Amino acid sequence: MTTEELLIHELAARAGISVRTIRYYIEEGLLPQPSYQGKYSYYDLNFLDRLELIRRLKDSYLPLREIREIMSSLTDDEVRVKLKEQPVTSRNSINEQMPAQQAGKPGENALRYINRLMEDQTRYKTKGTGDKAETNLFRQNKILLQSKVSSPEASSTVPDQETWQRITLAPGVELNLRHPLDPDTQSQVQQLINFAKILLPSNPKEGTNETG
Amino acid sequence: MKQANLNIHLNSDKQLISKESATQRILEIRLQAPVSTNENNRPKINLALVLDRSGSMAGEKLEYVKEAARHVLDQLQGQDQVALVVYDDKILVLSRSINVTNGNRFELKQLISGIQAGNMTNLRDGWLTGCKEIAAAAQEGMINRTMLLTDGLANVGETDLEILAQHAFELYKDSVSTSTFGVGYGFNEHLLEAMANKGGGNFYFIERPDRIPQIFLKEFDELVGITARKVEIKLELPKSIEWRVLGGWSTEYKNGCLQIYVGDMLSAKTLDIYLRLHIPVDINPDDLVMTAKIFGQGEPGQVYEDQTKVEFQYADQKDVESTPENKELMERFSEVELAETAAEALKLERKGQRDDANRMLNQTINRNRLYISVKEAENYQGMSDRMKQGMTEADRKRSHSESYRLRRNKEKEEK
Repeated sequence: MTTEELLIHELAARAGISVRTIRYYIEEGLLPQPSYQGKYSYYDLNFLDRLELIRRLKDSYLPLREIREIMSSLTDDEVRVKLKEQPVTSRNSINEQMPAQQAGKPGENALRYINRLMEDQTRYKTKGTGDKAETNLFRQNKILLQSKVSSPEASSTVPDQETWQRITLAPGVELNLRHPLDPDTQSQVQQLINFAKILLPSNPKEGTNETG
Repeated sequence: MKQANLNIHLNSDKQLISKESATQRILEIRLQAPVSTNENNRPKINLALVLDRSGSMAGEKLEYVKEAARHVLDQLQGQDQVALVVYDDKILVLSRSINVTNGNRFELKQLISGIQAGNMTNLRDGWLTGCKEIAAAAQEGMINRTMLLTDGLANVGETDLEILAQHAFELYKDSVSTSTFGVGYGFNEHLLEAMANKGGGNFYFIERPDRIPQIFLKEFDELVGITARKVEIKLELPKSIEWRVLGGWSTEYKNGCLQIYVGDMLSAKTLDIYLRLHIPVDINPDDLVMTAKIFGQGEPGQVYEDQTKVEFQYADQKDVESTPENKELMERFSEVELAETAAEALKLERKGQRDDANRMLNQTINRNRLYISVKEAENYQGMSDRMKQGMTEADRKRSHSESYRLRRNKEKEEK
C-alpha cells in the first residue's frame, strides 16, 4: 500500500484516459468517491488499479451495470487479486468503449443533435401538406446550405452514379457541380460562390436541382 | 489577493429549522471565478455570428449590424475561428467556420458588406446552422459561442420558447453555447433570454441600433475574459426537500443531487445563486448536512474543483423564530426574488393578464419590504401599476432587461 496521491488530471494522465471519463465512472458508481482535502480531491494509487480492472472488464464485453456491481463489491486488495486473475484480452482502450455521451471530441454530440433536428424537419416538410412553394423553398435552402456544408456523407449516394448539383447564382447564371467534391475543390467552390454573391447580389429565384 | 481557484461557499438565512412544522430556508450559493493569470493567453474562440436580415432589419439596423460584425472580426486572431450565417426565411452560410487570418478577415468583411435585407424570420434554423458550424470546428479548450442577433419575432419554423430553450441546453451540454441579442422593440425578450440562459450565454437588449457594435464588443470581452468554462454545481439535496432555484439557471435533479449548470465564468467574477428550500420535519439529521461541489474547466487539461457544506439543525419553533437571520443575505436574496417575480409578471402582462401580473408583483413587494429600500419598493410599485394599465413595448423590454441583470448578477450597463 502506498500513500502517493494524485490530482484528477494526474490520475487521468497516468491511466491514459480523460478526466471526463473518471468523473463519469465516479458518477456511475464504477469508482468510489475520492478523498477531499481542502480544495482538491485526491486519488490514491488504488484508483489506478481500479481503472485497469474496469478496462479489462470492459474488454471482456461486460455491461456497465455488471461492472458496477463487481467494482462496488471489491476492496482494494480484492481488486489487485482480480487483476491477477482477469486476463488482458483485447486491445480496446477504455476510451473506445465509452458510451456515446462521454466519448469523442467536443461538439460531436451537438453536431449529431443538430443534424437530427434538421433531418426531422426535412422529413416533415417534404411529407407536408403539398405546400409546394414551401417545399421548394426549403429544398433550395438545403441545397444552398449543402453547397457550403456539402459533407461527403450528405452527397455521396451510389458510388458509380454521378450526382450533379445545380446552384442558381443569379437569374440566368448557374453553377454545376459534380459530387462528391474533394475538400480542396470544395473550399475553392465555396470562395467562388461567395464571390459570385458579391458580384451578382440578387437572390436566386429559380429552384436548384439535383440530377442523378 | 489573486485567487487561483474556482471557489464555492454556502450560506443560509438561518441554520435552525423547526421540528414542529416544515420550514422555508433561503440558501445562497456564492461562486468565485479564478483570476486570469496570464493576460496574453486568452482562450481560443470559436464563434458563429448569426445575423437576422429579415425585411424589418433594412436600413440603419442592418448597417449597424454589419459594422458590429466587422468590429468583432477585428478582435479575432489567427488562432480563432469564425462562421458567418445570415437568415431571413432562408438560411445562408456566408462563410463556414474558418481561421481568422488576415486574408480571410478581408474576405469576410467583403461578404458582410454584401448582406441585404430579405423576408421573414426563421430564427431556429439560422441559429442551429450557426451552432452546427461551431460544433464541427470545436476543439478541446475552445470557447464555442453562437451570437444570435434578431430584431423580430421568430415567425417561420419552430418558435416555441420551451423547445428552443431545451435545444439550447442540449447544445450547451456539449460545449456549444449561445448568446442572444434583441434589437429594438419587435423581438420576444422571454424567448431570447431563455435561449441564452439555457444555452450558457448572455442576453442583451439593444434598444438603439447605434449601440449594436458596442454590445457585440462587450460580449467579445466577456468571451476573452473567461477563466472557468462549463461551471457546474452539484448539491446534495434529500428527495423530500422541495426546492426552487431562482434566476432561470438550467438544473437537473437525480439521485438526491441537484445539478446547476452555470456556464462560463469571467475572471474574478462573483456569482450568487439562490434557492428556496422547503424542509419537512422528518429528514434524517445526517441528511441535513448538505455538501455542494463545484467543477469547472480551465485551460486545456486543467480542472477546477472545490467543495463546501451547509448544515441545518432541527430546533423548537420558538428558538427558530428567535434566532437572528442573516439580514444581508436576505437583502441580496430579495433583490433577486423581486427581479424574478417581475420577469414572471411581465410574461403575464404580455399575455394580457394584467391584474394577475399586478397582484403577483404586489405580493412579492410586500413580502420583501423589510429588506429593500423605499426607493426600490417605489420602483417596483410603479412597474406593478403600469402592468395593471398595460405597458408599452419599450417599457416591457426595459423592465425585463433590468430584471435579467439583477437575476443574473450582471453589471449595470453604462449608457
